[in-house]
Amino acid sequence: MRFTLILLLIFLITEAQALVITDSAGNKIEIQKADRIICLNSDCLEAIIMLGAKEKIVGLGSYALQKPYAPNVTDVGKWSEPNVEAIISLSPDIVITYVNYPERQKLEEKLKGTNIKVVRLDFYKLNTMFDEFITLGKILGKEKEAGEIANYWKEQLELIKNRVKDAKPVKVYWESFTAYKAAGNGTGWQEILEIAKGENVFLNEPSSYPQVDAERIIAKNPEVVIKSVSSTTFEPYKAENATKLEEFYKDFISRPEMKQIDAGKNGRIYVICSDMLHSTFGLIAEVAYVAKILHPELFKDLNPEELHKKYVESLGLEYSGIWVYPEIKAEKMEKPERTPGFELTLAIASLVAVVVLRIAKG
Amino acid sequence: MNEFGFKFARKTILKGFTATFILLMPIAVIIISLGVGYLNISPSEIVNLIVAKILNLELDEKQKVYEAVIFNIRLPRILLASLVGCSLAVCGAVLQAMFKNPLVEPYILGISSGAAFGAALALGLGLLSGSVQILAFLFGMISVFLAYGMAKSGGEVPVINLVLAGIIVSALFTALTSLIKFFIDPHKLAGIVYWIMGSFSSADWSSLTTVTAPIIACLILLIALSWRLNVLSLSDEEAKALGVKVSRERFLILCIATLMTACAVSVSGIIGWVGLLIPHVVRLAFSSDNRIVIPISASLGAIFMVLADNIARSAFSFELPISVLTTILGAPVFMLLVRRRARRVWS
Repeated sequence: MRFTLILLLIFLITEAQALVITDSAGNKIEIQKADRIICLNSDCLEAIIMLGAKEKIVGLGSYALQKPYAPNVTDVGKWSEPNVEAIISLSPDIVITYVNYPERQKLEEKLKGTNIKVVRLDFYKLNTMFDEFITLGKILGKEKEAGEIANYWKEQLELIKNRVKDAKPVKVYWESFTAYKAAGNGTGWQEILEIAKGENVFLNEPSSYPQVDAERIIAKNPEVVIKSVSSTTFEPYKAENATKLEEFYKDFISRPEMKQIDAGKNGRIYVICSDMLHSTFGLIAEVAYVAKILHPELFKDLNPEELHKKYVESLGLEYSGIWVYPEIKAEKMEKPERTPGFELTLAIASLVAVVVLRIAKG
Repeated sequence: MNEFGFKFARKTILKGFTATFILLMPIAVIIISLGVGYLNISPSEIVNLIVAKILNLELDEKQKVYEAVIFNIRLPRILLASLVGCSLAVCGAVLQAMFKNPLVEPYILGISSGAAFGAALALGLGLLSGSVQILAFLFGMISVFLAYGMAKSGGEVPVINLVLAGIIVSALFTALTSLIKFFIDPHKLAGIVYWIMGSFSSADWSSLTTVTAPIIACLILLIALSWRLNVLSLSDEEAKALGVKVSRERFLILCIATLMTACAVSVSGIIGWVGLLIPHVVRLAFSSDNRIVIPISASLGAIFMVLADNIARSAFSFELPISVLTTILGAPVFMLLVRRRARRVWS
């Protein structure tokens, strides 16, 4: 009897130690322990911090290291081109990275023969995020916390979904970080639009980021324009005033097509700073912002900033700064200004003329 | 007049007529291009709009949109495309003559790599709108002067040194651009890649007004100096014997060509092939005399670029990259011409 009990105990312990999880790439991975973790990107870093396991991180990808919430650990290279030797020298238990990046040849194949396990989890797609969060909870031995956090955000998402269920889709032009590059099918932005009942005017194009121009935007006549900008430019979490964003916005709305479309006429053009909004549960805050932009009448009581604040604070940061500009409401547009650089060009031209005349004389 | 003389005169008149025709063509092409675009505006509606504008009539809602499309979107873009096409073709012609080499293009001295580096720097640092153009312009100029400085040896600037220095400077700036691309936030990387590909989609009146004056000034200067280019295309010794201060002339013309190309590149990104193709076509079709090559190149370059951009902006529901189009359109034409005529001109 005692013997069987001991056997059972040993069995249980080994069972508990050899946790087997399935990552989002479909790989079954046996996890012995996860005390030393490397994250190649900021998305998994965020998830780990939310689960309160920041101290287990021993190495980070270069971009992730630049984030304000990143712990000060060793740089293991780019998220898409990691430095495998740096990874091995840190002797981590697991490395977490995106499903598709870096390719297997650049990571798993090179780590063959070591005990380092590669776990592929995205944390930036709404349809897989909740499951991934639970999986990460299992790996970190924090399944309960993970369940609670995931449930909270799931509820918020459901709430938004329910509100917009019967709403009429609003026509949206969503511009990616580059001017006149629309966010199309297959982008994270499109996923948000689908949830928030927005009809992407450039959905049926062969490319995910179709190149468009002013004329096409006029032809589509979107009711709302959303422009994503990179946070590394505008640093919203440090921004004390919105001057930089304001200037950008002024330039943006003075583009020739903006006055001609409904979005411009009704003052429904918005700029969203993407980073720390466009990853993990920040996505749900972004969904909330977008839902309110598209259907202000349905979300009078919803303050997306509260969700956003909760998310930012779950990363251990203080919530401050300006992320969405202008404030979400219908208002008249300012008159755009134009600044031709005529004086400068005239100066250069006359300089050249003087030089030429002098040489011609000599 | 004997038979030969008559034939010669007829040929000259014919060529003169064709030349005049080509010089006037851009105006027609620009006007026709105003009717081309993604938004379907029929010619009658355009005429109505123009009549309404001339008579100062009240425009209806639809007409207001058309007005904006035609005068605020299409017109600046078409004009910009024509200026850029003209600049690249002219600079290609000038540099080909100066280097006495048919394979030279406006980017030979590293201007494109320099401009790309400037743009990458501005995009990478996240500086606001106008700075991309300014930095692209500045670094385009810097790279050429760097190459020139490198090539200079004892007051002389041999052509071969210039070409080599151009290659070195190009390589240097390309490497620096790659370095920025490597370290940059992936969000911004896309911006750099697209900038380098070249596009007119963000053309507006302000970018047009900025570059028009210098480009036109350079064009006039180069046409005025084109007879000197004929002298410069001779060997250095011959040119000196004719009393031309070769290095100084070369520097002056290089400065003007660089300024012109830098202006073009700063507003359009790097559009390849036009600067190589057009001067060749002109030489093959007309003559190697730079007094003819330069104005005709200017005109043909403008026409070619406007037509290519018409296709780029209106053929599909999305925009095609302009430099892809210039190459796809230009390569077969060039191929044909070279096979048929090349031996006569460059042997």
